[in-house]
Amino acid sequence: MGALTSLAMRTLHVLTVTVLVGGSAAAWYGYRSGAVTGLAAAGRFEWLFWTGVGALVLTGVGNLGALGPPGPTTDWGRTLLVKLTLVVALVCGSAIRTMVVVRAREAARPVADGGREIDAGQDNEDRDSPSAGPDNDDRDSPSADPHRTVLSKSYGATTGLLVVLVVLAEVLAHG
Amino acid sequence: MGESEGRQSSRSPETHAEPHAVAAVFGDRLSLQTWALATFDVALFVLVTVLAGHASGALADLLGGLSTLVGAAVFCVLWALFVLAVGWVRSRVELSASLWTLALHGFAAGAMAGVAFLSGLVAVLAVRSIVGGLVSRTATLSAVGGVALILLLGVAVASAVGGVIGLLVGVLDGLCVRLADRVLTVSASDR
Repeated sequence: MGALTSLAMRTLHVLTVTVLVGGSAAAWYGYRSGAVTGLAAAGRFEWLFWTGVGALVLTGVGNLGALGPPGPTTDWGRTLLVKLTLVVALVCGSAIRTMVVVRAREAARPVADGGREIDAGQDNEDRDSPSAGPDNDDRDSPSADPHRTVLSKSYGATTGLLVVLVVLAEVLAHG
Repeated sequence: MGESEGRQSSRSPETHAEPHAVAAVFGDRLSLQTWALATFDVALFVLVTVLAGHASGALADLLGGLSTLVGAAVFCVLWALFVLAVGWVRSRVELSASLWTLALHGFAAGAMAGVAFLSGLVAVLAVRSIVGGLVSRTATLSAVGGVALILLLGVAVASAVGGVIGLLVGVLDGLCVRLADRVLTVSASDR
């Protein structure tokens, strides 16, 4: 039972990292190339990203508990210290990136009827419905385009840091 | 300050921007900002604790007494409490309010979350203790008395610890929003 739980934790950990690296890289490429211009895609990815971060921390600490980490003075311990520090940096940087997306979306809030907000439920439908189509991004684009560079750089940095963490995880697992 | 710096609108646009799967579970009560900041806060809290434990060499002992499933359950409870705490703060003040206002609201939310966490913990232990007492036919009254004493002392400690964590987290969340605004300003001026 214990071994099975540990295996499930490790599997979830690896799968989550795969999703985060792939998603961040796709977002970086999308915003960099101009294939993605709207903020809706970033908003959706941020939901996935933070759910993944929660799962990563949960499974990561679970893995540590199952392994029984050696002291910080060993090579393994020093590598773990570096990895944990980088994860803290990733989480802090990502929080700022997500707030950039949130604040940019707030700034792009469409107003109608003399300043009255468009019905928020409808707004949600328009922005995030999978069936919303390209018009969704088009509506976001006037405010999203100015932030394309910021988003591209942010997702690029996130991807780079995640790849470094994957390499450190390999070192921890296989030396 | 205070409520004067409070919410201008109780329904920010991104409050309704969650994907449908999330909306189906949480309805309109959970926004991306709340979800992201709460997860950021709980992840940072756990990471800093693990980092400090590892740096001091106490991590193996810290995690050794915790089974994987119990650890996962504790993390999920903490996560939920952070979501509720951030949602509570956001329902009362904008995150662009002064850091002092955020710190005070964070303290209150953290204190409540701390007491809730302790209550859950004691409830679980109390059930086990009382059931154990019933099975072994020992005095259940003394078990209840012990639980009540722990609860009484623990509430003070849990609210203080939770309050301090909430205060720090409130300031941190406010700083994140300020930094994001700065990034957007610089980005706009670079155009």
